[in-house]
Amino acid sequence: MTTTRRISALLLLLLVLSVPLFAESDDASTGLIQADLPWWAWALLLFAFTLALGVVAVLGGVGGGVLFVPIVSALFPFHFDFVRGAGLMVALAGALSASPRLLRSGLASLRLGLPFALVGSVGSVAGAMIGFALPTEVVQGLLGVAIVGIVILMLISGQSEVPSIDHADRLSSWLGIGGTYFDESSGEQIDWKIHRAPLGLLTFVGIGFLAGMFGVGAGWANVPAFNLLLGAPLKVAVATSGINLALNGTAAAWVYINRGAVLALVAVPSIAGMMIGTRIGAQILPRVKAKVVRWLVIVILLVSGLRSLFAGFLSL
Amino acid sequence: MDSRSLTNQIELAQLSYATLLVWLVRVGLVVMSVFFLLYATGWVPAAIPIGEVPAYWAMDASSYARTVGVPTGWHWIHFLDDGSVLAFLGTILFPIASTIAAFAAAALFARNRVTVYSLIALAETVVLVIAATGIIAGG
Repeated sequence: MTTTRRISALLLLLLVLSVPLFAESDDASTGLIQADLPWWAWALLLFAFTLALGVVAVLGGVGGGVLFVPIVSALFPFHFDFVRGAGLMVALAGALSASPRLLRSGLASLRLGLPFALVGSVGSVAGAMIGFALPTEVVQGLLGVAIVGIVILMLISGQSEVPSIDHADRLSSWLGIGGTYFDESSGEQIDWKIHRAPLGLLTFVGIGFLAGMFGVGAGWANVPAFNLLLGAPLKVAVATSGINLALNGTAAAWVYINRGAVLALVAVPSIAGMMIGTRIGAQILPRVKAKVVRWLVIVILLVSGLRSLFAGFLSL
Repeated sequence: MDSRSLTNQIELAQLSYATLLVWLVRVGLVVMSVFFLLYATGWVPAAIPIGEVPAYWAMDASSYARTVGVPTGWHWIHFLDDGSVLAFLGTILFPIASTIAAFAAAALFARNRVTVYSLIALAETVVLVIAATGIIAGG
């Protein structure tokens, strides 16, 4: 069995597990797996599951957080508050551990990341607060809407390797946003700058808001915003996304922490599983057909998003 | 200051920030694991033993805190001899590390005389600290 087939089988298993949830879940706090297990069995199950999710996240080219919240809330019996809290911690830990290598390589840019992270953090805190103010069912239903939106975004948004920018806007020029990196694949030195910075600031407030409300991280939106809206090269956009995710995730995480929505028994196995899983995923990435896995991830996200949407709004 | 020296200085700030993150994450991972093990094995007694947590985790966060009696906001700081609080502290080391790193970025940019970015990083730190205090979260 090839690695791609193994990964595909794993994803299909997740999909099959998710389908009955349309009928099962009329309560926002219960998942598919309802068993009288000791705590350590739950911890092991969660660790193994998030490890697999970490592998899939890397191969599917999405962040761990965006997979974690809809799927774990669908399968496990934890309340949605604790899943969102753990989801933020997972996204935050992953982003913090990946950022140093990308910063050192010069692909991630603090100059690009910081201004947008600042407005994103404000949005993120607001999103987290409103998420707690709304009924759980509403937040879960809205998460479904957001996940379906993310799937559509993944399907329609293109990528531009190195967008051509004629003129940097005045704000980004004043901030000195831009840089140079060495592209190993082409052997060229790439100079880059951005445009539409004011529109970008507004966009990142919205991205932060959604990430804070749902605890899903925001790589799915940061990358197209940096790349397609602002015109940063794709590699710079991907690398810098982690800086924003770490800072925006931290802002929202504090709200969750203060609300008591971070449960060590849920968060610790999840962080450990996801961190190990993403490392394994990065190692086997060259051996799998990432495009096939990406399509399966899109299907899984769509199913879990629709499940969340129905489970949330139908139980109102 | 010409653009080249400016770039070099920013790279220095960025490199220092990266090095700091590496160490904060390493320490965070080790401490998180140790504190969780102390809680899980029962070496440090806890108000809510780990085996009882599954009975309550389907509750929303505020009901859980009320029922189990776990401290919210920063009240946990008075209960560091409790295993569940230690495990919680280990979990929140990542946001603590990220907040420290944001402040360090402000200092690193200031040291390299990149004033605008020093101020942006400082403003980011202020947002994170305000969120951490729980003032606006009502926690």
